[in-house]
Amino acid sequence: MAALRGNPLTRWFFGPVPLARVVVFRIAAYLFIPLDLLVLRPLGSHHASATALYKPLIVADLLHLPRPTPELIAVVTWSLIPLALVAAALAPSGRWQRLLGTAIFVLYFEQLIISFSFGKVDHDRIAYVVALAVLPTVAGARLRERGSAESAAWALRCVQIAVVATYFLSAFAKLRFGGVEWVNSATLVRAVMRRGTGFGRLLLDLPWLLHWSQWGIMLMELFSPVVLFLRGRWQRIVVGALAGFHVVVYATISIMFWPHVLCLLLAFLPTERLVRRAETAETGGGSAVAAALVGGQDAHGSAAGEAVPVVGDQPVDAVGEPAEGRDAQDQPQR
Amino acid sequence: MITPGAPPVPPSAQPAEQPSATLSGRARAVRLAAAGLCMALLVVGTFWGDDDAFPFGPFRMYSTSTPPNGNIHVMVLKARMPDGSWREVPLDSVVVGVNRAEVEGQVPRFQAEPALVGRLVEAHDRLRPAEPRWTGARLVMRYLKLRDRRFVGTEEKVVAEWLR
Repeated sequence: MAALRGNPLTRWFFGPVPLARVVVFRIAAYLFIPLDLLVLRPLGSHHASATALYKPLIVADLLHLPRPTPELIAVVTWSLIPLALVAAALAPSGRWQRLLGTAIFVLYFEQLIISFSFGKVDHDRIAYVVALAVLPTVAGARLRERGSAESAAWALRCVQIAVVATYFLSAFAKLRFGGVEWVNSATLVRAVMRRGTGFGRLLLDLPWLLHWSQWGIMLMELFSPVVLFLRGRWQRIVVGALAGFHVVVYATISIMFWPHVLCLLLAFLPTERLVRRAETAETGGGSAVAAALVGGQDAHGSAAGEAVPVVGDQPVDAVGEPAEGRDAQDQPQR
Repeated sequence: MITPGAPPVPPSAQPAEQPSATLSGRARAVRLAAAGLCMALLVVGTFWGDDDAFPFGPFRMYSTSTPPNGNIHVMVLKARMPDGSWREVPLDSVVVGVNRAEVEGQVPRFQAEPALVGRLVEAHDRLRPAEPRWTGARLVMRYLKLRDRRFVGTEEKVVAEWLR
């Protein structure tokens, strides 16, 4: 710990984080896999009908990955789903997490490589891939574990960095591919005309709003790293604002960065309080946590004001806070 | 902000109820190196890579500029029905195995090899066996013309065509 205090970088990366937060992350991340493969993005099964259009990624060539066949796509998909369900079920006990988590990471990565090899790469998966890669590196994480760990801190920091990189580096991608004139272009008009919702199409009558939104997006992306260095309430406010941004994007052009938002919420918010609150309320930890998590995932699609699943304002270590006052804590305080 | 009896302590300095598990110096070094390497690759990919560099490619979604007086490109698929008529059909993975963005990502390939349009028709045969079999298909680039960020008209150009 002496070394930790001495070096700001080490302290920032390894300042201990509650192990229960990793467990909550694991449960949500692994439960997301069947949802993703079956409902949100069931591309694999469709790609199996169009393997002639395969256009391999560099990583597929480097790793000598086989050309996808309908059989390979089926094997990867249908082994991931049970593995993910088992990993989520065992996550509270911490058992088999390193083995299962590693297998899930490898298979999901292969699944993504296949599905991105048909001419389109999505940019909402980097933080999630990082999460799958780092979650198995945390040992000894159990739901009712009250301790914290440096390994948990590093894992969650990595996910936070990946979340922020998705915003920050996309600003530079815009400068690179669109030039500085991107902010004054009609790119959002294009986005809405190509895939706008009924609500989004209303904005076509307000081109100035779409125009200035581009300035807002660029500034938001360039300043996004600030969230890494905020703490407590301010960090949660910014996380809530970012989640709100995704809700607005979803409402206007029906694009939702589901896995990215999952990582945004679970890597930044003190989700271990879900567990502790559930324990305190003695309503049976598992079911209350599950209910709280469902609320957290629903929050992606709900109003911005509800985007943060649990926004207690007490310090992270205020374990055993009574469940009452939760609403009060959701209010801005001075 | 302040809960009585529990002064706010930054997470990194909190006194845990149980002693926190520390990592060895080597374990920390390995983790820092891995994080640093991935960040470096991501930065390199952002400035010099492209989509095929996933997972280290640039985050280029909506990164291009559409001039306020320019054209918006939308790829559409038109299929020839058994009666010979042409009809616009969904360019969607549940219908032809790939979606619009994926086809748009491979335009030069379709231009160089129009037979690939036939693969879309065959994918439709497999995915929608109950529908009439298409006797041909063409990929059409539709240009939505803008003036002062407002839509003023449409033009179309055939990119690739394949007939059974």
